[in-house]
Amino acid sequence: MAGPLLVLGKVSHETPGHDGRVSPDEGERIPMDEAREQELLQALSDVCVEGNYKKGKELAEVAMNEGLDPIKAILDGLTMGMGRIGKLFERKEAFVPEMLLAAKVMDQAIEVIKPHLTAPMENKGTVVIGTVKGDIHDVGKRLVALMLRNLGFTVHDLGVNVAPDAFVNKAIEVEADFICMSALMTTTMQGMITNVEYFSQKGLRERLKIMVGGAPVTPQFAGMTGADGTAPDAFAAVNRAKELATQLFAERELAKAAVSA
Amino acid sequence: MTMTVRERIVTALTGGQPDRVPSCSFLWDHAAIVADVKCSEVRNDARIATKAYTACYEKYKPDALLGHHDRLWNYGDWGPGTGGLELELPDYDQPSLIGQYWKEPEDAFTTSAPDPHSKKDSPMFWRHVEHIETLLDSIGDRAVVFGMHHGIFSMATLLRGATDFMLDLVENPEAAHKMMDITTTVVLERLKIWIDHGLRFFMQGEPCPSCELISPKHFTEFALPYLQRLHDGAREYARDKYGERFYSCLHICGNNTLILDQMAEAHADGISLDQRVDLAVAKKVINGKVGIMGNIETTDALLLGTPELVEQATKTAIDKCAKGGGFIVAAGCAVPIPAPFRNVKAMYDATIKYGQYPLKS
Repeated sequence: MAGPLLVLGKVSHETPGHDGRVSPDEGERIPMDEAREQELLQALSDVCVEGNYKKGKELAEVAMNEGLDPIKAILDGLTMGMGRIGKLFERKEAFVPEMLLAAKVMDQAIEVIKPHLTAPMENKGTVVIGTVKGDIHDVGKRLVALMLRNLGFTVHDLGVNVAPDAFVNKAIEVEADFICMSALMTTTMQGMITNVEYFSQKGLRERLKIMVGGAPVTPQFAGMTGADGTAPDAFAAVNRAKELATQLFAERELAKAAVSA
Repeated sequence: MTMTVRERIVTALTGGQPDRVPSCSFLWDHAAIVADVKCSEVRNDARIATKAYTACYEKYKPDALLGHHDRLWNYGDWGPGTGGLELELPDYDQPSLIGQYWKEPEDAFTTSAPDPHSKKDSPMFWRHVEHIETLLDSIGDRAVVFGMHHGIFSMATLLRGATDFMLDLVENPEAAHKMMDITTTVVLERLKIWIDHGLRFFMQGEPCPSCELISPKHFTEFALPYLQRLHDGAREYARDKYGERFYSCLHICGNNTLILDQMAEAHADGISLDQRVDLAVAKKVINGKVGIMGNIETTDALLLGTPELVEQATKTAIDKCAKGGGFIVAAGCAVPIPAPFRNVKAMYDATIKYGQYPLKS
């Protein structure tokens, strides 16, 4: 609690020796005092880990008023905080409620920051994600969706009990780079095999990467589905998605180069 | 000396060493495949459910058998609530819950729950009662029949919606406690009715209070006291009304190594472990406090493996956990619906082959 409180207290009583605002004459962002910038970024990271979204919104407002670069606020502040809580999740020191709370902090802070963005953030990849037909479990899937979104992916979460056609139609509509499927029952996960076959029939297989996940989805089973990747938990899933995104974009560049050669 | 199946199960469940390691079947909708009927037929007619599970007993000959539980039977009487809860009812799988019963956390304080004692209010539950009663009639002299119900924490999670309930634990703890109070009350009343209809063994299937989802701290606060209340309440009811012992077992899905101690404190006689828990670690931590059931791997072994692999997995489980008793072989979670029969049978056959006391290994 001390970090963000101190930051907020300081701002209300003084104008620090920065002027990170955009110069009205030149239209350029004036560099912020480095120490102050680091303080705000650390506070944004801390408030994610603490799960205090009221303070997160206030802090985001303060940061924008002081002229903190909005992209830095998101990537070097909030996203760093999500990364920290992700590591705690990996080490079983934070769990789903804490992760959801951190994601809520980030979501609400980003809503404050968004209007200050002068250009859209780089899209790390477009993802269509859902729990397969017949399955209603969504906590893990929702975590993955939240974390991907907060890392800069554009995520279309189709929810639960998603029919194969719904995956296909959305993937085509948004020109998806990923289809991610989740299942929490050995019964419903069988649908992943038929889904991947269906995606191939619809011409999607070569155009995107497919990830599957969920408690009963072992690496062996994931291999049987023909998916490109799987992971044992939400944090690992996001890391795997980043790797596959790099791979996919490299493959596309090679394909483009081959066509133009 | 050869024990009866009941003696064998009770001895192992309560931490003792029986004549041999017993087995318990955790089949769920796999039973429909065994009986060559649709899952929807099983849930729509208690007698078909009983026929299916009787067929499972005939095929696999476990010492104990978990009866059917269905989301329609567990949730179908709740109605739409404030969140428009509905059930989708597929032919070849479990029902899906769509929507929420409690839309807002405060709704837990103003909505009512279905009364299990009223057949008019709770027709789906009374279908469950009919199944339990007819299953006891059908195979109760040959196997121990466990009534099975979705766990109280998982019930609160699904009625509220998983993401919202997870957030309620941190943002609206009072409402989360109220939801737990409601589900515990409903399931305890259901258990009492089952006891009145002859049931003496009970298993709760809890996917949600797992360490894959919540912290040990949240388990201790939001699950443990209610599990204790449920198990104590059922035991006291059977003792006071019938002078008989009622036995409970608690299954929690996922890798729950962090809360093995707390699971053993839930006042159940035994705990059933998911395949992700190392049985050797569990044996050491539990140290005879309660019986342990588990935990043959469901995907790579039972579904995708071979009978030889399943046999080896069962032998390993017995080697790790059966010394001195207190162990019952079972699948680590529900047997996958399409699991090959020969793989499932291999688990029960291996239990008899390797589970004679004194153990050979």
